[in-house]
Amino acid sequence: MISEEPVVYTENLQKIFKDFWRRPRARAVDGVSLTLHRGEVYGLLGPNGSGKSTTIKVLLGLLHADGGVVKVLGKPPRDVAVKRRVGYLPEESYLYPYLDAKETLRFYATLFGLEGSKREKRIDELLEMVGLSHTGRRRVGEFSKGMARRIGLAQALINDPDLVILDEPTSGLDPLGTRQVKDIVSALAEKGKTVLLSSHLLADVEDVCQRISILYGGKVRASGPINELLQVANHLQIRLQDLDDSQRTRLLDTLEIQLGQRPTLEPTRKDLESFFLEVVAQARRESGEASGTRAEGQLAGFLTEKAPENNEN
Amino acid sequence: MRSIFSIYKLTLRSILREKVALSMLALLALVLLLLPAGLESDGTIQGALRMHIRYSLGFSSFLLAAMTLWASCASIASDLSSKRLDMLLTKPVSRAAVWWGKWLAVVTMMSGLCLICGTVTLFRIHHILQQADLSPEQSEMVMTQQVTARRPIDPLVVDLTEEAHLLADQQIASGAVPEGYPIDVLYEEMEGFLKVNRNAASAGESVEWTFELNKALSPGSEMQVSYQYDGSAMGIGLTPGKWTLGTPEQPELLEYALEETPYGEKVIAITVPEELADAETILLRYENQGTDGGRVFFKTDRGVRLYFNAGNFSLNLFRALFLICGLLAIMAAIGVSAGSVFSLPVACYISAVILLLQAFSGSVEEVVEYGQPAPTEGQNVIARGIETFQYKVYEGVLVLLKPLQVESPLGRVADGVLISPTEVLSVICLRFIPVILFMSGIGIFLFSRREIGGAA
Repeated sequence: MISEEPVVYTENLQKIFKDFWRRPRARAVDGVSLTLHRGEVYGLLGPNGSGKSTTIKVLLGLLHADGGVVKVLGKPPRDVAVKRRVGYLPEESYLYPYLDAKETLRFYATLFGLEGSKREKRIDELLEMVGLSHTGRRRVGEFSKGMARRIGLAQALINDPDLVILDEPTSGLDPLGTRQVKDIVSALAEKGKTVLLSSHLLADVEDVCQRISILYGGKVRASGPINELLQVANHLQIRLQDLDDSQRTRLLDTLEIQLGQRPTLEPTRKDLESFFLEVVAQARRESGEASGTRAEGQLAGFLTEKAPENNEN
Repeated sequence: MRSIFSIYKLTLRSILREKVALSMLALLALVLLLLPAGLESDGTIQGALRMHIRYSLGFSSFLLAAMTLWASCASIASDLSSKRLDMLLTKPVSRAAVWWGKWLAVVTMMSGLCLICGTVTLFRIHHILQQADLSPEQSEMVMTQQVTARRPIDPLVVDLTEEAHLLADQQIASGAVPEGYPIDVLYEEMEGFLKVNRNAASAGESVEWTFELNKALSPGSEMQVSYQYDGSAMGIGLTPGKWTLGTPEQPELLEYALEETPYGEKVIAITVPEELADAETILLRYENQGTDGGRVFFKTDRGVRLYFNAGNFSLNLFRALFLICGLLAIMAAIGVSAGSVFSLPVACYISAVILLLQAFSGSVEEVVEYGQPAPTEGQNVIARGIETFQYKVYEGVLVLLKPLQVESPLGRVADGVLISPTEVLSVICLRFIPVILFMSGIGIFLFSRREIGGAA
């Protein structure tokens, strides 16, 4: 699904924070070059203060670049036409506390020019998708962090964006919510959307991203397809199921004869996330819904519609 | 427009949810409803009405101005500090739309409150008039001099420049002026001196004013001659005087002989005679007929005026409120611009300074009008320089405050003086709207250059 059309393009991006007297205080981004293609999920990794959020804010037009080239969907990031095609989830969901979930989405939808029944249908679908359709008139100021995160995600998708920028999207979410966000990200990519994902949670990035860049001190320290970066040279893994003891011994003996070294055998483990999800799914089947968010629905209908073949950048 | 309207609606809700705004609203209601009970008027019905309009409604307006500055500063600054603007500005919304949406919401809210305050005051005035036990004469006087809208005509201003220069030259020639005394200051002082004399009459002397009428008078209609004695005349007892009014051709068409203490404001009510119907010029003369040598002074600024009944009190009050709403709109523009550039405390501080300067702009104007103080004997160059600098600062402040200065709308309503629709329209179109556009231009320019979320 990945095409060569750059959705995000930065070359030698620089961002320097200055003090009151305009003296350089911190070089937050130092020569970052990124190219994101249509249908790609791209991970931006790095410890705190590495320049991830600053890079994202430059891409969103909230901060000005001090040097280098920045193009989003082929245009400068502050272009209103670009903003129509971008969805953004900040690292904290900064919501208007006196609005309820529907009002929040309605407000943002209106800014994108969505009106009437189309808007309402989209809002209902998104609330269903993030498991908040039952919150009614409850104000978002009363939401838990996880619920606020979900409504934040819904607002980021309200305009059916071509580029989705998610800053720590799973922060504050339970494993179910985390899994769902990852599923949504994968589904979006399948539909031809580009996703830029910034996270501290390496497992999340590993699960969904095709390519990553690791930032440290404002510079890209490693970049490339995730499979290539994580590949350990000259190490191979063979997976087999249901071997009894005699089969294992025979396998080891054969390999030793053939390769001249005796390999080690280790049982396959589930990852904790899969195990947790299985337990919760079982519990749900037995005792129904818990309070808070509900089991999430399907991906919102408008997001599953077939993406146009050639999106204009 | 759609995004402006969305931001407008959201800001309106936001203002109503803020605790500070709710506290100020409660205070406003208290001021409007309870302040008159806590103030004592001079015991007259006119005093009571004036108190309601000038003080109760005036203080409410001041509170509204404070609310406007706070709400406008907070509208963008608090969204910036709470980072809600980070999310908003990633949507297809221009910063100009954010600015205008916020401004419009603050102006709507505060103008609405202002008009509500005016309506409450109007009801109270009608209530007071109904409850008051007034004689028909008193009632007539209140209704024709205060609960009305009178068109004022001021006398022609006599150019005293040449006379002042001549007098100054005489003073210099006589050696009465110290060497190095600034000539400009001397001219101003001489002109002020002549102006006072021009509006004063010693015993046996008379003083005359000329009024140009811009429209014909209707015979039988009511007009008033209003005159204010200057406070410096205090100490003089009952003084006989004669007022005559007429045209250049018939200067003594009407005569009024009065014996009164020359203090405060007085009014002579006149029914326009046939002879004045086509008059383009009216002459008014006062003759001091006292014999004890006491000199009668009239105020140099609007000491004497003619008034003609020109409208309805309620409409006049609402025209004054429209002017106040215009001022609130300018303040909102200052506040929104300050809030989009500075943090909330700094923006509030800057705006509060502007509000206070505006509130005391009358005093600043007086200082400037009074002129730079003359150098004192032995004053050194540095002290004189500081004094000059201070005066220039006052002049500069006055220039900056000029757009915010409107001749006391509530004071005029309380005195039954007409605020004409033309005046309201011209002030709003020629002064307020350009200032608001200018402020919005500066605010939006700075806001557009501002980086959001820079502390990342």
